[in-house]
Amino acid sequence: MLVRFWGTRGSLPVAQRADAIQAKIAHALVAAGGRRFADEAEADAFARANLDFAAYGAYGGATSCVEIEGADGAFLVCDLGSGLREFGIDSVRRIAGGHPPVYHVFLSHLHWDHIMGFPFFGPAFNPAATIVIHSGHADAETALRRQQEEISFPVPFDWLRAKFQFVVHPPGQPFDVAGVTVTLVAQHHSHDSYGYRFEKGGRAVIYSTDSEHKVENMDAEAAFEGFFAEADLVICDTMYSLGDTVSLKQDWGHSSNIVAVDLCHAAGAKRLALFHHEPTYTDQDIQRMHAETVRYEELVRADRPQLEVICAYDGLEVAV
Amino acid sequence: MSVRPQESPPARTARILLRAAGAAFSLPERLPRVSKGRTGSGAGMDLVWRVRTAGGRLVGEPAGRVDETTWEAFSAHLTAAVREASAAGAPLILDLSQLDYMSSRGLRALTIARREAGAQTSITLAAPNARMREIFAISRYDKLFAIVDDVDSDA
Repeated sequence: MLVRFWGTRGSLPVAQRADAIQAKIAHALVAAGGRRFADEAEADAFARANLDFAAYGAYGGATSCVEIEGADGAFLVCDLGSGLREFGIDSVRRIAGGHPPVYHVFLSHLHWDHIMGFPFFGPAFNPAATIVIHSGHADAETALRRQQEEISFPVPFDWLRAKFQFVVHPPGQPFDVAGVTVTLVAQHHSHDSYGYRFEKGGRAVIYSTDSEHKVENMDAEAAFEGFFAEADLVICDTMYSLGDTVSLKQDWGHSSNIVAVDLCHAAGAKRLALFHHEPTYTDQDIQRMHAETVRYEELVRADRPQLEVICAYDGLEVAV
Repeated sequence: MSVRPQESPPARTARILLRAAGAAFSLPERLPRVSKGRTGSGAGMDLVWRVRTAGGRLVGEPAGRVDETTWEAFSAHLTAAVREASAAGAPLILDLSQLDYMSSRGLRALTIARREAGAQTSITLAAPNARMREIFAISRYDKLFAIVDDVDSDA
């Protein structure tokens, strides 16, 4: 499987302002220290080798949308956040190259940041396309239709030309989608949310976002340790610090980098992708959170195998 | 399964005696009580819990590590200590000098204890090792709890 991140930001899309770009350029020029480069390729090589990601890259600002490539003749995509627009454009390119126009969507929940990309999803207008919306929510269709209503958007749902199917799944009962085994787990979040486990060829990918692990309900985490068990990649909501989740942002429905590491350790997972980044965080803030998480994993690893901690960004691809 | 710690017999006795004596703001000096938590299968280490009184303060002394295998015992001991301190009107000091580290389970047990303590009973974290200091900083728990270098320090 190949996991491709189209949107990694939580709650609200964000965009880099001019001052953020200017700071990156100034930083790069200082780091170059007066060097001369024959061409942009040589400058690029220098920057990649000498600048950190926050200086020479960007985590991106599109909201949740993650593609899992590897199904038999179908696109698999988790959530319909604003990253969906780019995914839709890219999928059209791949359909032109022979990929079947079949989409399976897996919704964590129906909050705005997880469905806001759908009105801008070009393939929804393709009469040859089939779009299956998988969800743990019985009201998923209502949510998508409602945001197309005239008060919110000029194109009603019934004008879309793709063939739609809405399928509601109970948690804990595996089902097959284009050769991939999929299982849901119920999560704590306003109006509920669901995590997904995708398995194929002995590999497992977890998508678990917008999931609060309540301080007074730690016993329930055994279920998540089981759900994450031996996963090759766990994409996990790490929006806040642990301190925030037990104080100011308690009951906001999100988890922390610290709890994510502990769940992955207990589950024997191999790799953790930090996800659903706080929209007020700058690239430096996210990079610092990533470094702190790597350090925390080291501090509490004990005799376990190392858990690799990566930080998701828009455009990241991870082979599983 | 959830753990609902019961008040320990010594704590109950102390509370009753203090109430009877009308001495709600002092604790008798006494030797430490020691109990062990569950053995951690992954860590292979016991959590040892000692509690003593000193200078009118209740001092809890966890030793070992707090992780997914020992947090329930830690939380139970900690909550019992909070109740004992609250009953006596005494501050609770958590002497962390013998603690290797705690994961998020232990940190969240601190939050449970804080909620149990309410506004009347202060909880101070004392003498954490360098690893614990890093964990407090990374988790931002250093913004939620008073942390002092020495057990005898005032918060």
